[in-house]
Amino acid sequence: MVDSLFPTIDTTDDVASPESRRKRRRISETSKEAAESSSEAQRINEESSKRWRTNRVQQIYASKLIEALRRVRQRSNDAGKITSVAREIRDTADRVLAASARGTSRWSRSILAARVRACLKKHKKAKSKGTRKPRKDTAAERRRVEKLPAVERKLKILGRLVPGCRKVDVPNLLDEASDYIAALEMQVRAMESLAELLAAAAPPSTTLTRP
Amino acid sequence: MDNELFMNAVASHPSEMTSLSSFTSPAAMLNWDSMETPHPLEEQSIITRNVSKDCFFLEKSTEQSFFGSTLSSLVSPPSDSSFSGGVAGENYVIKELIGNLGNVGDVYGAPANISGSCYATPMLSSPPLDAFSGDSRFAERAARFSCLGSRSFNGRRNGLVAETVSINGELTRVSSTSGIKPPAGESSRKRKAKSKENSPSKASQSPNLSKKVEEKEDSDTKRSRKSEENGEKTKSLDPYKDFIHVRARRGQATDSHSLAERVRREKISERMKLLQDLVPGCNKVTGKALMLDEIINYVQSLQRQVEFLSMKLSSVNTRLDFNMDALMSKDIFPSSNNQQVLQLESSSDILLAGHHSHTLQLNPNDSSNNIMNPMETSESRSFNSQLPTLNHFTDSISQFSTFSEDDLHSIIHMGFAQNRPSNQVPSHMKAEL
Repeated sequence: MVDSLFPTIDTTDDVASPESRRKRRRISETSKEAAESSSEAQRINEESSKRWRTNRVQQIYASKLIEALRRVRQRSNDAGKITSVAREIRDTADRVLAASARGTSRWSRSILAARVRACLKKHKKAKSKGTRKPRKDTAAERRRVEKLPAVERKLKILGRLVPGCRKVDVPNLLDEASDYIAALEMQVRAMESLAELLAAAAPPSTTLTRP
Repeated sequence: MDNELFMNAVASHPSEMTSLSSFTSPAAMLNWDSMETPHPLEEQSIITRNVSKDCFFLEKSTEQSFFGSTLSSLVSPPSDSSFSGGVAGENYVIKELIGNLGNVGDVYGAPANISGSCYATPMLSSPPLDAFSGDSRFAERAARFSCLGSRSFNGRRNGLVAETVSINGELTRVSSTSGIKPPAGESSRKRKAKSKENSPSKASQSPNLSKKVEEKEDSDTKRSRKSEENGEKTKSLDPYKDFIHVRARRGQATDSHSLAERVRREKISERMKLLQDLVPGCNKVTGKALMLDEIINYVQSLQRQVEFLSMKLSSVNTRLDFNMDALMSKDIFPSSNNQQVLQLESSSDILLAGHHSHTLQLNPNDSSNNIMNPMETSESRSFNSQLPTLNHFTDSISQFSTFSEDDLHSIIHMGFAQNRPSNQVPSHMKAEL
């Protein structure tokens, strides 16, 4: 039942299992390597995409996610709004994802550090989170920002999307983005299958009734 | 140049000379900080004088620095009479030379800025030349010696060649490995033994490369990236080398500005290509801006999916009693091995007291990609009806826990969590964390 959950949900992968896809990727990588000398960036990407597709990492993530979600459930009050619980779940899932990254990537470190920072701030009763100094909305500032070439603007946007990568230079930003994308894909797959599982196991009165 | 004739005494072929030079290049690449600059020029003049001599004149002069002694050992001062007309003793001479060079290799430490090398050759020209810090004299010397190196040698020293080649073979390997590891993604055009014409120009340019990279910031709009890129360049290299060595391709500008710029562009384009593989639907898109658009859209969509799924999970959580034990019996991810599945099945048989097993048995057999079909069959109904009853089994699980623990421990790796041996489970999970 569950085994086959992933391939269909998986929007990015084709039906092939991760192993064959990895093999194909390896073959394509080696052919690329034959063409050009093996580059560090290729290795990074091969590493990152392979890293987030191995069974082991997926199983680790799944098990950690389950545990974390169980704890969240215990912590959250049922009276709370769905949205707050959802946000908590999402943050938990992100943290688990970052933990699975084992600190090798910048975004993972930033995600984990943000939590620590929040705890510290809570302890110190400092100002609330998100007091990032907003850019002055002067017309001159805006003109200057918009005058930047389009690519640069987009790179800035990308830097804002990937956590902890606002001030990272371009090649590193692209590296981080590729790793982040691979990790997000795995996260989406895991959560989808988990949701399916839970939905399927929901009280039978609400689901899957047969005439 | 008369210098060329000097090398006639050494070997016969240019290739062999390069091998010899590569043999010497590790020696050259060694730390010669101690070497004073003035005397190589003197040596050079000595070399020119002794060009006509047809063999090496090894002289162990102790008054000079070791390098100087080696150098002078190659070139006999005209007053040297110990090896005069040493045709008879040429083998001995050659062996001494090799021994000397080997000694040089022993004395000096790791390669560093090459302040001078009498054996500057095409092979040498590539990495060490780029590394030294703007010694103009060295450039001049290197130019001359590269002329030396490029000339073919007479075939008179075949014996020498035979002896040196074996040594050179090892040392070439040493030199190539101890040489700079090419920085990421640079093509093979870099650090190949190029023609000697490049070496003098390179010698003058590349020492300033690092400085010019910084100067370039003024001319470049992306200033912050420049400095970071400079830092990037340095950090990817071995500690004794500060520079990324780039060669200008044929027909391209050899300006150090444009070189560094090209390196940077290539790095970025490489990574964009990798991202293209990762993001679906990017194959048709060309151009950085559109690619970045796609990437941004994709990341945003993934994040939105995560949010949506978390909302879904939260709603499911509140509904379900959250007894996930049986749910997690099957690994979330589909690529579990059959053995694990069977193991799980056996344990689940135990846990579910057997009569639930047929529902779970369905799953390992179902290797197809149709998820919900098994669920939507009649089995699902039974499964769902049985699942709530699983709660009642939690008490009975303890009975089974004794003999199912082994299975459980193996299953835990697949994310299966048990309530009863829960004290063990979290610890195991934490171990992973």
